[in-house]
Amino acid sequence: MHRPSPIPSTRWLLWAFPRRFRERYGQEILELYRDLYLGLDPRSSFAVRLQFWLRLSSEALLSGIAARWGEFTESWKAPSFSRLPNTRRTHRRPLDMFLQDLRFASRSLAKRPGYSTLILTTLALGIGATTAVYSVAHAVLLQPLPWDEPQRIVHLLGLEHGEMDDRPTIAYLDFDDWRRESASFEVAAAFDEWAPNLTGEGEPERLEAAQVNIEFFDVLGVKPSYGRFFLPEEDIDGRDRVVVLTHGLFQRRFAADPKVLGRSIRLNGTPHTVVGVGPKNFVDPLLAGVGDDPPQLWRPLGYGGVEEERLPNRGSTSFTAIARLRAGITLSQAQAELDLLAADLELEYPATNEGRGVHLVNLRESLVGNVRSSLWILLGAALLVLAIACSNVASLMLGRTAERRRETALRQAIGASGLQIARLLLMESFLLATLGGALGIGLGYFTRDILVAVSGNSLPFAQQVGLDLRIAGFACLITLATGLVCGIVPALKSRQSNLETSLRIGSYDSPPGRFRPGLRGLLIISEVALSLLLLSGAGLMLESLSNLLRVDAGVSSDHVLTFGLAPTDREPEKVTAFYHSLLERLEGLPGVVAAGAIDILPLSGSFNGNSVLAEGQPLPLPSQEYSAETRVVTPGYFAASGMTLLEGRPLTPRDRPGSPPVVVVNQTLARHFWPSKSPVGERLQINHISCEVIGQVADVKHLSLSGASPAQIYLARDQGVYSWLGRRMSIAVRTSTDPIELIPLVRREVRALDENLPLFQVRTLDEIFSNSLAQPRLHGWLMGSFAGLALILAALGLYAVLAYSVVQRRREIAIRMAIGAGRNKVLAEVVGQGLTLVAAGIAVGLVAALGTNRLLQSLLFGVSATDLSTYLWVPLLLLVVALAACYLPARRAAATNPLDSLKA
Amino acid sequence: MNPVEFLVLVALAEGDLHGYGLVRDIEARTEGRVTLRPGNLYRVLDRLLERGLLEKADRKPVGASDHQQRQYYRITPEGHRQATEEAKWLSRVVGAARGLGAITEPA
Repeated sequence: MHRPSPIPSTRWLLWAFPRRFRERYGQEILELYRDLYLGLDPRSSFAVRLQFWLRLSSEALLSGIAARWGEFTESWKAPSFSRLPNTRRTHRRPLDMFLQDLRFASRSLAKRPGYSTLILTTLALGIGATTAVYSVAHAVLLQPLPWDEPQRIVHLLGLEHGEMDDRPTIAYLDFDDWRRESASFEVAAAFDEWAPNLTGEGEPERLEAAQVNIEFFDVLGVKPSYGRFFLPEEDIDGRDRVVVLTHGLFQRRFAADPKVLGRSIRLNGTPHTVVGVGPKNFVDPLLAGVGDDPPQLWRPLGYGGVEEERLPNRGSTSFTAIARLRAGITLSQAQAELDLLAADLELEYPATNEGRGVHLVNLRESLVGNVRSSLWILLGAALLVLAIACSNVASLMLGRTAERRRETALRQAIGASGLQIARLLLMESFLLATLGGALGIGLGYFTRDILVAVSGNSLPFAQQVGLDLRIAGFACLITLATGLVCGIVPALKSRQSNLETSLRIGSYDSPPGRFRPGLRGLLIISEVALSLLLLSGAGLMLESLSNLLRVDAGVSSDHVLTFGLAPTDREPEKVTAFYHSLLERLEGLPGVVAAGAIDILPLSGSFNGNSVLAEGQPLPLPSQEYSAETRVVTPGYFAASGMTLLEGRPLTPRDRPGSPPVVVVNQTLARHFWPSKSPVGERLQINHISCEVIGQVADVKHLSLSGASPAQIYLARDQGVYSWLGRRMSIAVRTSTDPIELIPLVRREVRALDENLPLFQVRTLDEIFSNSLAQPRLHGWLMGSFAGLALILAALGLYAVLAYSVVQRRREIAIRMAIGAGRNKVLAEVVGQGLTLVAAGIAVGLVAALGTNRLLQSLLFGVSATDLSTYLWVPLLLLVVALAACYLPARRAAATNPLDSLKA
Repeated sequence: MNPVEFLVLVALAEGDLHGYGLVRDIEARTEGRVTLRPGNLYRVLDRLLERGLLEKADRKPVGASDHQQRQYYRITPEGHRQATEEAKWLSRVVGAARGLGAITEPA
């Protein structure tokens, strides 16, 4: 009998079921569908039939998924050792199954300590390196700043003709005008450096400090931890003898005792009242370049209600300014507005403001901008190392899988499913990853401390580098990902094993024929390529570092002690006399060769510039005025710093107030004005004073070792050609003995002249130079370590692959040797196979390196990112190391005793 | 043992059945309250087979005039034993419930 309606094909409904289920019951289920359909009332409408099929297909889908899930959880059960029908399989709780698996995996790992240790070490190194670099990167680049809404705080940088100095400061009057006229700022504040001597509290100390607009704290949005900040009435000259301490100073010098509030401390001899203490964990926006310390206390500028004539004139640009953008105003809007205001000022005050502009930068950006790229590069390098580590581990695990094929097959025969075995491998890999990760994190914290110490001042926010939940979270994520990546490939491969062939005796020999490294070979090639990438990067950085070390700085930095002084005498003659006496006394000390003073030591900060005219030469246009770095020195400085005199004479004590003004120039300036003749005897106009050039010295690297030397002039302090006759000077003392030994003697001499005068920044010139190289040194050190690590890992990986292949092809090698192939031939063949892989890796790596090393260019000095010699010696190094890695397995292959191998 | 499994065993205790037969039998037995869907049914059958409470019987035509063959299932002695245990257990539960006054039908 037949029914009127045809039965649609239903096989496709079963797609959701697992294969096993479909094979066993598929046909029956389809038959049941048919029966159920035929069981419907023959008069049912189309809608009813449709509903029937819909219900059936949705049930099929859900059941299929449930069946798959059931299979998955089934695999958590312990394998039963018998497939007899009346064996009852107990259903165990997931936790028990998990623990059972864990125990199993740890046992199997413990049985092979060498393999496990190798993997653990590899992972620990990879994860550790990544965690360390990430924690630094996180603190510097990502960590939220302790200011209120820091993304709205901007730094106002002064521009001269569109260009920024090293220290882009601005004029106070300009700032005041911008502040008043601009609608973009909610609040703005300027501040200036101040360095008072703290006396009367024990050891006198010179403090780095700042004089600030009282709105300073509002811009940052911070609250005091004790007391208060400044009041408007304290911003008036005469009533501004108040200070707010930073929390750091509060702890360091005042023992964190709140009773210091209301007390009076002596700064530069004048009593100042302490009205408040700044917030804990404060990050100062005045974190400038190398060698600068943040301010330890603040006092008001005292410009409140002051007439314009009494404010610092527009010509002097020494202020730093920050501002908080009004809500809803973007950086570019504010920038556009300020550009207009600056243009207005240019028209109103052409004498001072010509070419002046201002550039707005988000404050965090302005502080970390120059380390951002290097941190990302380092993080990239660390991740590369991790990638190599992972691929090594995966390769090792793959090797083990194949080795265990027999064991696996046995297990399968007594009931373990492919899924179960795969899961055991994954568990092993996760266990290794977790242990390795734990070790790695520990290693990471340790390395991080070293990193911070080595990088010194060149890393902003370095003190905030801490142990963060986020970092631990990142490390865990990396660890888990590593475990997954390392384990999944072997796990997948394990499911493919063919039961029958695996159980045959001698089955773990691969079929004879060509060397088929397969997946592992691919891993080796990628490891070699990545190592090449890292090695070439490291090579470039190290070369850059060595170039920097070899730069002729123009001074001899050995055996020179330096320190700073800031006498507080008001009368210039007294200060001059002080320096005279001091230098005389210092030169009289035993072992001292020369002593001199300079306003700013090399590599210690910014410079003062003056425009310079050569007499007898055509006047330049106002916008093309020639500016020279100006240094004010005492005569002894030339000998003390070891500058090289090229012509003429240096300054001497003969050059006094009243005697004709003289100047010593450097090569750059001499070449500029008098390219074809000697500058000695020529005259320069400096600050409207005519000076005679008496000597020429070699260029000195004052700003940075890697920068070019601009024009430099040296004026005698005593002559006062340069209108600034500051009190603060740095003293350089050259000795024939160890400069450190001199320190107590020097202190004694200073104290003899002025008891309350502290020395600051006491260091040797060598130290100064070394600090300036902190960042390139850090890069070289880190990249070098990463590259070395990568090389070792890649070599180990190569060794493992080859050793394994030799073992696998034992029989084939034995046969070939038995029929006459010599040892050397076998040796050469194995080595050749290894080197083929390496060559492929090198080829890939070279292409990658040439492409990506361009990213490093900004960090390099004196070497191009495509420097050929690097790309020659790095592959050579890899080949040599690879040769060593191939040698041992090759030797073992060649030493195979044919008889023994054939018997097995 | 879950209720569906028990119902299947009970159904088969009275004789061999094929898939469709089981569905209809249980439907009738529970007065329409339990209608087994194919996927669910076969998962239950699979489980019971694994545990040895059922076995596959012959594959034979359903009715005398039908040409289509169907796979029949048979309860095993072990299955019989476990179903009996389950029934005894359930009746003890019912007895306890009766003690609470929940059930007033005659035993």
